[in-house]
Amino acid sequence: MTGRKTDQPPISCTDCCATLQEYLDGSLAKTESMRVFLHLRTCTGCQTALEQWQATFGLLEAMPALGPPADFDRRILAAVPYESYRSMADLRQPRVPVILAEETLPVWVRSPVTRLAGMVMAAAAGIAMGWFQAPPNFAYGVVVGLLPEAVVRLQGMLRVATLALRRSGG
Amino acid sequence: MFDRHQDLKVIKRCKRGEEAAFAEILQRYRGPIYSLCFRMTRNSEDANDLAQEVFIKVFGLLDRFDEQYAFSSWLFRIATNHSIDHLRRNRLRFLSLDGVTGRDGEEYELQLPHKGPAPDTMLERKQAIQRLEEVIAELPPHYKAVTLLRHDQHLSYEEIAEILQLPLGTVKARIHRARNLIQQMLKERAYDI
Repeated sequence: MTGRKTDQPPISCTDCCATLQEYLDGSLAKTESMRVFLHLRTCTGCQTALEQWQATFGLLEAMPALGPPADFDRRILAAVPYESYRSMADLRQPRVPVILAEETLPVWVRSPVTRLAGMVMAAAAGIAMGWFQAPPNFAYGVVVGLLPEAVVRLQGMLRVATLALRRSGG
Repeated sequence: MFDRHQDLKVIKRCKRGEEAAFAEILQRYRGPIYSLCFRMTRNSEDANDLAQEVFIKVFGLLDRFDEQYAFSSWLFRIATNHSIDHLRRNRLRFLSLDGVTGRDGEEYELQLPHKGPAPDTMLERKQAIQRLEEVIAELPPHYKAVTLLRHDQHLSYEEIAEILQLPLGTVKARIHRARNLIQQMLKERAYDI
């Protein structure tokens, strides 16, 4: 009879009883669930076992929700040290090595004016070399011009990477 | 079951030191956490203390909370571990069947379950649940924890696996074994389920 509904062989009573929890829990695969269902239709012994499990599950699901005493929140909120938590906010921030701190670079290096001027100088030196066949020592102009921007960017990237690493517990 | 994104927003406010945000967390989770602690310990005073300790501990550890996981999982993990530690610390206190000494030093009798009729009335149903809770209370701590997370907190197997940081198969096996124990204990005591 079961062969008409599924290609799987019929399940034994032992296997059926062993899977009743998962059957009721809804965590059994569909084909397995069908095999258990078909077996239960014809096996009174397993039906009895199923009824017992249904009753147990019924009780487990009927456990009432419990609530804490009335002053529960008040006692916790009074015990939580907000002030010291707030005052120590800076200390809780992940730290980076001094060399990666923004303030380590001189203000004039970090200044947008210096960085822009440097890039203009590098561009001018590059154009002079490419279009007007300027002497090779103009390459120094390109390097020196790009240096402030490169240093600031490199430091920023390393700082972000270090913070990400420290936040992830690395 | 719990709104992960909403939790994350509140946690961010908490980290900025907003008192109202922590009160919101408390309001959202006090019931589930107290319920878990109470059913782990079966003692309202211990449950109250444990649940409060859990929330205060959580506040202190907020900066270590990894936002890629659900806050509820993290909170339940702390509560479960804290309750299991408490049960282990107080193992001797729970082992005595003759008499149990409360915190105040006063001795009271352990309420041993008795046979009961089929639960076909409200009162009998209540008694049946009471007996079930007594049986759950006697489970080993790890079985008790998975049973409560599954049936008291109605969490999925996957959520329980995340909370307990165990493989899904282990969680399923543990819950299966715990329910077998529950049914076996109920039968041994000749309870009508």
